[in-house]
Amino acid sequence: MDIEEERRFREFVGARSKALLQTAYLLTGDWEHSRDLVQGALASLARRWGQLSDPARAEAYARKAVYHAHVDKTRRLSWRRERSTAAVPDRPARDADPADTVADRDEVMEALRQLPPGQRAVVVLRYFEDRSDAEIADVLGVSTGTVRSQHHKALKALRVTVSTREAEAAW
Amino acid sequence: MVTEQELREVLTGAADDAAAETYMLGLSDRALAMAEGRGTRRWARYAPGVAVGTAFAVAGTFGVLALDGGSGGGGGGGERVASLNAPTMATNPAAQSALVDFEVECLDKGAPKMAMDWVWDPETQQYHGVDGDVYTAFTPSPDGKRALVVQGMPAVRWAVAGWSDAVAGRLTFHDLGALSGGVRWTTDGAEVTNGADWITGADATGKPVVMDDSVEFYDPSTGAARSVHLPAAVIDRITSGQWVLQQWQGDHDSVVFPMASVSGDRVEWLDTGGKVVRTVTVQNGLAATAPKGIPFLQTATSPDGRFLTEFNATVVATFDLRAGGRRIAQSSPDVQRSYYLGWTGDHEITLAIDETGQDAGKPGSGVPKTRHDLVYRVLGPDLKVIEETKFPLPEDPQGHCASWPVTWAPKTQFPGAFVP
Repeated sequence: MDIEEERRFREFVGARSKALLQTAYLLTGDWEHSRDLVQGALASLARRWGQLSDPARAEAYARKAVYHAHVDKTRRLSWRRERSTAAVPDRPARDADPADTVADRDEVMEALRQLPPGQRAVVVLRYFEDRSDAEIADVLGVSTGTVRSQHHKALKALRVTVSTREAEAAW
Repeated sequence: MVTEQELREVLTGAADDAAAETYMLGLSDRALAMAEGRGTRRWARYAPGVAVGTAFAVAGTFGVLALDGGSGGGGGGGERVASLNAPTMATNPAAQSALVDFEVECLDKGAPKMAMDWVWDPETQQYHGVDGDVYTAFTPSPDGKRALVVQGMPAVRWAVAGWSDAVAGRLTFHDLGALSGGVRWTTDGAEVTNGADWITGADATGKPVVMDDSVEFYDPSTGAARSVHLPAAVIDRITSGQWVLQQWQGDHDSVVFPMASVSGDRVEWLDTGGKVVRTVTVQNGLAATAPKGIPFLQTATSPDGRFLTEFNATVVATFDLRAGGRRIAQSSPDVQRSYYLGWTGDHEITLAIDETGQDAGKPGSGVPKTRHDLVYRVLGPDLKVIEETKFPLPEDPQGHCASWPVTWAPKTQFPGAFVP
């Protein structure tokens, strides 16, 4: 990387790292971890900067790298925790009227953190980044069918977890 | 129940946290260092290139010298700050070194608009903001009269000029090849040479390998290079995994290669024929750490030759060479949150501690919004604090900016510059 390339790389990081960190935070729930994820993704980008210096391509690459690193790392390091929460009880939410209940933000975030990494990634891509199924499939490197399935499971799990907590709190 | 709309709102709200900006600090430098393999040494980034026997000037040549944020040190609107006074300091500080180059990164729209690199200008008695938005480091020659200016992370070019010319940007740069390891002054300032950090790598199995079997020496005036091959004995020791190459000493015709045993008990200097020409042993040496198979142990003797420090990227230990290498002290692991700056005087070591705290930026916390609040702590060989000082940026009373030390020099050479 020469001086001009370094300048453009720094410019890219300055312009886009906040958004990348926000996404990584939603995936990890921890700013320190999110910085590690983004740092790794940017390092990977820096190694390929000659081919990826176009901002749109660079961002797409960095985002992909963040999501993949998150899924891989979580699988590798926290499989016990993920296994313990992956199987969400298959039962309906107890609250009858969804309109009457506004989920507490912290509860939703906590429930999000309990999702398996793949499902969490789908939720963040869909509801934070507003991506279509096809785009999510491209980022995560899976089929659109898998995206839909993960999406369905994630929403179900989120609703069950949040409803259960609300019920527990009310009781 | 969670509706899709609620989910959108919750995610957006959670991500909209001021912490995001604080964690942007240093991302460019961290990523660039990591891209070149240095990030694998997780804490080594806090260790400047202090070599055994290196003279007084110390260069923090790599680290979290953070500077992204787009243009320069970032920051918001207003006029660009072009010069900075040194912060208020003690009348007669005990510390022997002055900060001659530091980096700044600013966040938030309300932040002053500042350059990313700041170098001491003896003529104006102020720190001068360096134009440009690439990593730049000014390292004074041992006599303090010339500056070695290195640009790029990783270093891609260098120049040497009189200090005033360098500050004014009157420089002729010389390009560096890939994997140069940057450049630094040789002990006597007659030449500049590349860094030892890049010689050792690891193969796929984690076994240490030699990535470059020669070292370069450059004529400061012309940039002409002379190569010196690593002796076979040095290569054998590196690949054995039992020795760690330190920054070499001397010029192209007098170079010696210090090597520290991974146990930390022994440092040996080998000449170009591979013969051991000097040995130092210490008691209860500090063992090297070995991230990704590359042993890391950095040793340095005090300028007067009496003490030895060993730094393994986690802790620092000191030894008295006049007492049979007796171990004097070992730092607490909080050095991990520090910039270990090595010897900054005959009997003083300096750490820059990042007092990052969760209360940062909150009203009344006294901690800048950046969450980075450097405290310079001058320690004796017993690692007890002699003096400690903060380094607030005078032009940034609200604490929007973070600073990082880059180079130091004897305070007698740069009167007026900040002394901790």
